This record gives sequence, structure tokens and C-alpha cells, in this order.
Amino acid sequence: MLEVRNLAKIYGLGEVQVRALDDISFSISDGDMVCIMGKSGSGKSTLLRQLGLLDRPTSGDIIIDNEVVTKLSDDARATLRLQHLGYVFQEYALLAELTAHENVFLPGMMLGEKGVDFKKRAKELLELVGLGRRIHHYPKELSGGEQQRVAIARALINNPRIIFADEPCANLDTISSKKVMETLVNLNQEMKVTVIFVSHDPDDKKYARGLIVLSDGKMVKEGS
Amino acid sequence: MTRLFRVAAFLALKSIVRGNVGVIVLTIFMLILVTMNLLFVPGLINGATVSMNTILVKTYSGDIIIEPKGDDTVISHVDDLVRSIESIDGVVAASARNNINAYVTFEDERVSCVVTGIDPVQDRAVFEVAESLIEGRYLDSRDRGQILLGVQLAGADLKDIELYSSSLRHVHADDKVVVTYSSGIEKQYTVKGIFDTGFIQTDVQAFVTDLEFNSVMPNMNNKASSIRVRLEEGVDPDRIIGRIASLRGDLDFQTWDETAGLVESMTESFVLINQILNVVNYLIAGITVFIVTYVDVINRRRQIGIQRAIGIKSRSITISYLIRALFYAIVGLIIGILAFKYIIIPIEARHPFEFPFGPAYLTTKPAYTARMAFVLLVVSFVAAFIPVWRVMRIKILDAIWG
Repeated sequence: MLEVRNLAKIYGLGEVQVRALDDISFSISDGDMVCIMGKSGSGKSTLLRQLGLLDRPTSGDIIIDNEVVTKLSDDARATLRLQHLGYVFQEYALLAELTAHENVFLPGMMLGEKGVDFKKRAKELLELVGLGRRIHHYPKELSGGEQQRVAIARALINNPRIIFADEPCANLDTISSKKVMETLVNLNQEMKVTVIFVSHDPDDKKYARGLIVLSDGKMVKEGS
Repeated sequence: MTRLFRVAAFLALKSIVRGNVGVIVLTIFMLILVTMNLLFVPGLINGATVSMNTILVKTYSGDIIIEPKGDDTVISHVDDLVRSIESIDGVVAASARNNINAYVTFEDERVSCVVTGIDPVQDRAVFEVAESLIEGRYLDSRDRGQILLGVQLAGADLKDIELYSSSLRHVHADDKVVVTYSSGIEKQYTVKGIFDTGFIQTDVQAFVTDLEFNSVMPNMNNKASSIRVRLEEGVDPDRIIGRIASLRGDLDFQTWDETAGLVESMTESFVLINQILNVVNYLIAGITVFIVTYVDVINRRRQIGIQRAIGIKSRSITISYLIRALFYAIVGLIIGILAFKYIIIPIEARHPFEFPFGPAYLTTKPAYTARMAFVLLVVSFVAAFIPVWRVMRIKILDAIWG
């Protein structure tokens, strides 16, 4: 269970302040697939970054499994990200010096779970996202859609409870977008991973069972 | 902890293997130059010091100097003593010397000096003055009325020697000079030879045979102002001194290094210069590694942000940069040391640096090399840590999106 209570994020100091998120509260059940929508500048990505523990809110709390994670130290947040959360960036965000396979297994190597062959698992995940034949390719040798699927495989390497995807199809063509979204749906349905994704495309609502709509940093709609 | 290092090593390896070859080569090249520079100056100083010490021992002091003890001015029964000393295991030879102050006059020039009476055969076994003749011949045991002059005393028309202006300037072999001893005796001598050892304190001396000396100072027969002893290579002087002291109790001893005041002060100056140059070299090494690491982390700020976002611990990323810096330093050190030992030293040995006291050959001391390598590694470590530490303090989102 992911719960958000009175979350606010204010940028800027002194007289000029921008309330990127304003008193946001909601909860998402395990295994859900939720789409966060809104116009550009509505605060979608800011909200996802708070949920993904990449940034700290100005006020309010994020609670994962009854534990308030907002106030955790940087190191504890890094551990939580590594163990339980997966993050898919809008611009793929792969490491250029590593192959697709190495990009995927790196977080697994960091976690170093006993008895887990993270290299083998990385290979299986790449096959799962349809890139079994591209594992030794570098990011620059992959298309945008393929890079995004590598990023999804990377987000899955440590069996996360929740995957956050920040406009995963923003830079992709229609076919690639469809493949990426279908991959996320499959993960949600088959592996029971909670998926929270941001999109500005109203068509993407069809992939989600839950919907959060933001406008000027405020939540204007929550539901399905 | 193992995981931190394993991930760090993996990241470091990948960035070295797939990094910019030009930057890596240039960084290592800089560190090779720094290493060779760190070895060169002390190597030269070591070589020059060895050269100076060798010439000091072989032309001026011998390995051990024996003098009379207390208020005595001469050592008596010298002939027996020299024989006893030469019979000690580890002693190559011993030479009794008598000194007297004198003036030497040639044409309009008059120069004060010390005239030393020697047994040419004994003295030649201890010193290498005979091998440094630039004119004439060395003394024979039976020579009378003949004198051997150092080049700094004779001048020999060599205007570029250090003490030419205070020398006799134009004296050559077979010229006649007049020696006025401090005892008041004045005598004309034929210059049998002129020597140039390269060691100024030797080259201002004049030598006559003990036969000649005794004719001028008859009361010095079987006596000596000092005895100079030459030892076999590697023999402990203190052991020999102990043996000689057990023969007679009226003797005072000095080892060659106790007479090396001038050489020591030169060496101390060299060491100070070397320390200043070393600090500059370490700074260059540190700045090189700092700049390379700084530019690298700035260029990879986004990549570092992504690594942190996907859960790679900051410590792992920091360690990966430190491993890279140590890799550069270690490769630079290894190549630098090998190049110095197997390329620079052999080349210099064929074309040695010429000093006034002779050629200086580059040498390396393992202890110095080890210390230098350790300091260079520490400098590289610190220089790499600072920029990485600063980038790690930036928020993840700022690192990724600026």
C-alpha cells in the first residue's frame, strides 16, 4: 500500500515561490496500475519524483507499507529504491558505457541478494521485454523504444514492489509506445507489480485501472 | 562492503575500458613524466654525491685518517705502525704523510700552500692522484729537488679553472719554482708533474718525496703528521679503527665522512632543492588527476545522477573514481619507473653529466622509490576524491537534469 498525505512541494525561496504540488493526498493499493495525468506543468513528474524517492517534498508524508519514508536519510532512501522501487525515466536514462545486459544487472549487482544470479535474471528480463537478441548492444546502438524497454528491464531487476514510469512513451513513435505500454501492463498483470506512470496522452488512460489528474499542482480527480 | 567495492570496481573497469582513450593515455603520460621527474633529480643528486664521496676518498682523505692524539703534533715510529696497519685484514694500504706550510713562488706570483711529504709507492697504493696527471710524471721514491703541484696551485695556463686568479698561473711541468717553508728554508724545485683530480681541496696541494721532506725537516724522520688508510670495498671502518687502536693508544681517528664538510653542505643544498622540486611535482600530479577527474565528473554528472537514482550507493560511485585515479597513478608509476631504470639510466650512463669533481651517474634507491610511489598514490587519491565528493553532494535530480 502506497499512501500520500498532504504532500506539497514548493520551489524557490523568498517572495517568488511556485507551489508545484499542493496538498495532495491519495492511496494506491498493491498490484494497482495508476496513471497520473495532467497538462504540461501540472506537477505530474514532480509528484512521481517524490513518490520514487528521488526528491524530498516540502511538507506532507509518503507512506509505504505503514512506514513513513519521507524523512529517511539519503542512504536509507537509496536502499529502499534499490530493494523495492523501480524507476523508468522519460529519456531512457541508460548508462552509455554499459551494454543493455550490464545496464540491467547493475542494480542487481548492487543489491547482491544471496542465491540470485543477477546476470541470468537480467538476461531473462531482457527476453521478457523482447530484447533477448540485443543484450550485448550499447544504448547508442538501440532505438528509443528498445532503450526504454531496457530501462524497464533494469527497473525490474530487483523484483520491485512498485514501478514508477515518467512519461515512458514521450519520445517514442506510436508502435514503440504501444510496445512499452503493453510491457508495463504485462508486468502489472503477470508479476503483480504496482505500476504508477505519468502521461499527458488521454489515450493512455486505457492501460490504467486508477487515475489521478493534476492541474496547477492540485489533484482535481482521483478514481478509475 | 564487498558489494560496494565489487560495483565500484565494475564501474571503474568499464569506464577505463570504454572511456576516452586519448584522455586516459594523456593522463597516464603526465603521470609517467611526473614519476620520471621525481626520480631524476634525486637520482642525479645521489649520483653526484657518490661521485663526490668517491673522489674525496680516493684523492684527499682515504677511508680512515689517523692523527696524533691530544697535544702531540706528530705520530712517532710510523714505519712500524704502517706495516702493522697494512697487515690487518681488510686494509689495502696505508700512507704516512707529513705536512708543512710554505709559499711557492714562480715569476711574479707567490702562493701559500701545504707541502706534503709522501712515500710515492705507499701513497699511490692509497690514493689515485698519480692517475690524474695532466702534465709530467709522478714522483719516484728517490726523487730529490722535484715537486708535484695540483692544477689549482700551478694554474698551468688553464684560465677556466676555479682558482686560476689566485694560482701561480703559468707553471708547467719542468718549470722551476721556489718553495719557502715556514721553517725559513728556501729551496728551488723542478715541477715534475701537475695533477688535476677534479677535487679542489686536493688540487691546491703540493707533494714532495719523504726523502726530500726529511732533508728539509730532518727531525721528522720516522714521524708523520697523519696516516691515511685505504680499505677493501665494504669493510667496516669502525672495525679497522678498533684494531688499530688496540695497537697504539696515542692515536686519534676520523673516517672519511667526518672530513666531508664541503661535500656534506653541497649535498644538503641539493637535498633542499630536491624537496622543493618534489613538492612542485606532487602538485602537478595532484592537479593533473584533479582536473581529469573534475572534467570527467562534470561531463558524467547526469550519468552519476542516474546511477544514484537506480540505487547505486554514492560510496560505490566515489570508490569507482578513486580506483580509476589509482589505476592511472599505478600505471604511470610502473611505466615511469621502468622507463627511468631501463632507458634513462643506461642512456645517461653512456653520456654522464660532468661535474667539476667528475661524472655523476643517475642512481635510484629502492626506499626512496617506494616512498615516492606511496606519496604519489596518496596525492592521486586525494586529488580524485575532492571533485567526486563535491558532485556526490548535489541532489539526484539536479545531477540528472541540471
